[in-house]
Amino acid sequence: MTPGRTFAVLAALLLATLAGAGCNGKTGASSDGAASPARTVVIYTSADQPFAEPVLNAYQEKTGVDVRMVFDTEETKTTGLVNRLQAEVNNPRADVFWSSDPARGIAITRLGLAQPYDSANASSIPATFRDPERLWTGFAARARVFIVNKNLVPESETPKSVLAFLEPQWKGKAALANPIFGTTAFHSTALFVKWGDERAEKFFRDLKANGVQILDSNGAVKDQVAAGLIPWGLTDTDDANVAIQEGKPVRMVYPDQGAQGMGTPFMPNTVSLIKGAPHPEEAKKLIDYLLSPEVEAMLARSDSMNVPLHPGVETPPHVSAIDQLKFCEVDYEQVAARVQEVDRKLQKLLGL
Amino acid sequence: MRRLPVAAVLAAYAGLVLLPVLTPFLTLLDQPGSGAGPLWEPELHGPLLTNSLRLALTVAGGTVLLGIPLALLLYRTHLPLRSLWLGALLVPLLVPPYILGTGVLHLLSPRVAVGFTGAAVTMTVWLLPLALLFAGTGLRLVTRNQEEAALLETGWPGVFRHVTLPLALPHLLAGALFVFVLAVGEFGVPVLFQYRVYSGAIFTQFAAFYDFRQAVLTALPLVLVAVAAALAPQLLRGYRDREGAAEDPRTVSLGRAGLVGAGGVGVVALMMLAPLFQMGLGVGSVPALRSGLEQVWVPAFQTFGAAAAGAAAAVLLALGVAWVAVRRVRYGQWLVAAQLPLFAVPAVILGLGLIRLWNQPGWRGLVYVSPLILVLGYAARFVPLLVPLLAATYRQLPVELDEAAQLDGAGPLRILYHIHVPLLRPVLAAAGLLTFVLAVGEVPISMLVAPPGRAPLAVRFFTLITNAPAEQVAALAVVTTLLALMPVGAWLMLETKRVSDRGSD
Repeated sequence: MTPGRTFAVLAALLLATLAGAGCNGKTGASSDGAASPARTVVIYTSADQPFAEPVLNAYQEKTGVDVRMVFDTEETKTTGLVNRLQAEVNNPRADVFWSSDPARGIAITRLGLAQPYDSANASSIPATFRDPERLWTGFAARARVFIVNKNLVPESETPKSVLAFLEPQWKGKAALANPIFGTTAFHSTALFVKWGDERAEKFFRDLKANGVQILDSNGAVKDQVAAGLIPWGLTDTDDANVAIQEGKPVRMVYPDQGAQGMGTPFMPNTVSLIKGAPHPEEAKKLIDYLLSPEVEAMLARSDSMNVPLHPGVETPPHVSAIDQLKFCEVDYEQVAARVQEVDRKLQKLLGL
Repeated sequence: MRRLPVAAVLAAYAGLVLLPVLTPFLTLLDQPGSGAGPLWEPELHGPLLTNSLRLALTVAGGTVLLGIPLALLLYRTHLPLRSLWLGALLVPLLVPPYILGTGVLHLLSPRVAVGFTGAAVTMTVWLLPLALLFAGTGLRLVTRNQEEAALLETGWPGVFRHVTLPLALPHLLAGALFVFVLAVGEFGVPVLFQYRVYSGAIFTQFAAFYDFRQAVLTALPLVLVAVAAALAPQLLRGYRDREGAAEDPRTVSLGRAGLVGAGGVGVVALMMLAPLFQMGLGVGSVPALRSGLEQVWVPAFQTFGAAAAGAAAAVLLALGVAWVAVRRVRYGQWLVAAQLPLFAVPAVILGLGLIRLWNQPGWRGLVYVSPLILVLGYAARFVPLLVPLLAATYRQLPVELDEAAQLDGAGPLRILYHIHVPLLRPVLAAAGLLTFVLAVGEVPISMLVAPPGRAPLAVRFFTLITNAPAEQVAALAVVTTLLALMPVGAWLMLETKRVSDRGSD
């Protein structure tokens, strides 16, 4: 075979494989056939794919819009979508950003990546979960919880407060995720905002001295507690509930619920319209859908166990309504403004 | 006119590899003093870099110590079932190291696994196949007549020790260096075992502080370590490139000792596959696996296509660069040496460089939103890995063949196509296979540039691993491994047939 013919064969192979790679691989159920190529919306989401994908597929089936999804990983596994959004700033590809925690959601607004949008469905969401400038809106909250191994910790000894991390009986026997990433970073910063810097720094120094294990993620906390490697740890409601649904010997505890307790942080999902979105009208409709009571009900019924922020949304019996729990009231903007500063303090303090 | 092919290769290399890797560093020049922190904080970075070097040196040393005897047995002897053992030993490279680490964590006691030990074991298991491939390639290209001359004086053990291994040294060193660079830049596995390493500091800048500029600056010490590692062989006394014959070397009959050798290799192979068995147990049942397959067959097809195209592109370009470095320019060894520092640049920085280059209006934007961006990403990432492998092999080809062809009027491209490529075919196939496997498991670049709705399998694994049903995740991991195993199996069958057709001693 001559070089020219070989080159032609190779080029044909390359084109064929690209054509195969270019097959439209929707990441979920196919549309109902009414999708028009012109009706497309691109959403980047850090919500866990098993929970977000059914919600987005339902929208796709209902409306016929082609929803192109980009999912994120747990924050300690890859650099994630915020960096992708930042890198694409001069030529945005995403229309909507759905964040599973307010830290990342507010981070993109601080990076100038969002534009205001006032959804009609946001009006009944409490103001504390909405940005006054309408750059982000919260919905379907998760809470910070303890996951406790039933075989290792009797009911009577179940930890009730984050201060349990400092108790001598739990020396080396508790865990939390890396406090400079994700929801744990948000929780850590909320403590700095609530307690003040001096008390919070002492708490984390004492936490380190008491041998609390710092694992790479909330999922790792869940896995190791469920496996009986660690008696208890701090994680999110979805992680704890997934372990319960899988039949692991664990229980879930909302910390700091007593009369003197400060409550547990609630972390709403947030949704933002990306500045320069290529499909702004479709993006707004998708945001309206995500902020609807219908979606909050779906997420409450899922293993994510999200707490609806709209009043009157029907939830399964094991999902508490927002007025049944004591949540740690914080200014989300204030927390988000201090996350990186607190991260640097904790990085040095804990040697991370 | 004769210089045109060289210019074309170098232009393609500059555009497809150098620019994406260097763009993030070049953009730092646009923003002098824009609030970046110190490049080096001794109290924070010093211990992290020490940990990284300790881990990387241990893994590199371990893979070489295990890889050389395994390569001798698998590539130069009649070891029973050697194709089977070779295939089994290559499997861990097909699996994202984080998955391997999860298996190791479950196999070993946490008291043993957590910390340095678990991280070192996992990364040795993951990277041993790479060292094995490099070593095997080197051992296969040794001069037959020099070994035969040595056989007049000594037996095969002496020949291997005094002739074969020294001649294979360039490949052995190249393998050790790449294992070192991969190990020093790895982040996910050390984090899993709570072992703090320097690459974590880079990652933290991205994922906790969203500080791209500081992240790129923090990566520079890692690149400098790779520069030092790349220069070491150039300064090594007695290190010389040797030219070899183009014939296959002899394979040695082991007799009854072959059974013992096969047993030993089998034990090593089983130990390396143990973490994967642990993972496979999570599949649960055939229906669970079937359900997992149904959900991923489209992404599997997409992944296969992009990885195959990326591997082909990477091998073609790396062949061109190796040809230029070895045959067409003076001081080409420095072009080869420069590949290691390029490979040391964290993949996430390369990914962000790809976005900045290709996410532009016009035709570049069309490329960016197509699967072609993944192909370009894989090529940019893996060409620096392949060039030293191909260059070391190129140096073994006798120059006399080129001279004879030139006397006959052949130009450089005809010599490349009609003489070099046929002689290099086995190495090119191995290089393509290696790149395909690495592309299937690649995550950082794919996370950043995969077009929406077209995430490759490895990315899907990481986006599902957190809270998807265990059977679904395990099924996805099994499918990814099988996908990468298909060309491995095909290659092994072809290799076995080729060696059988040529006969042996």
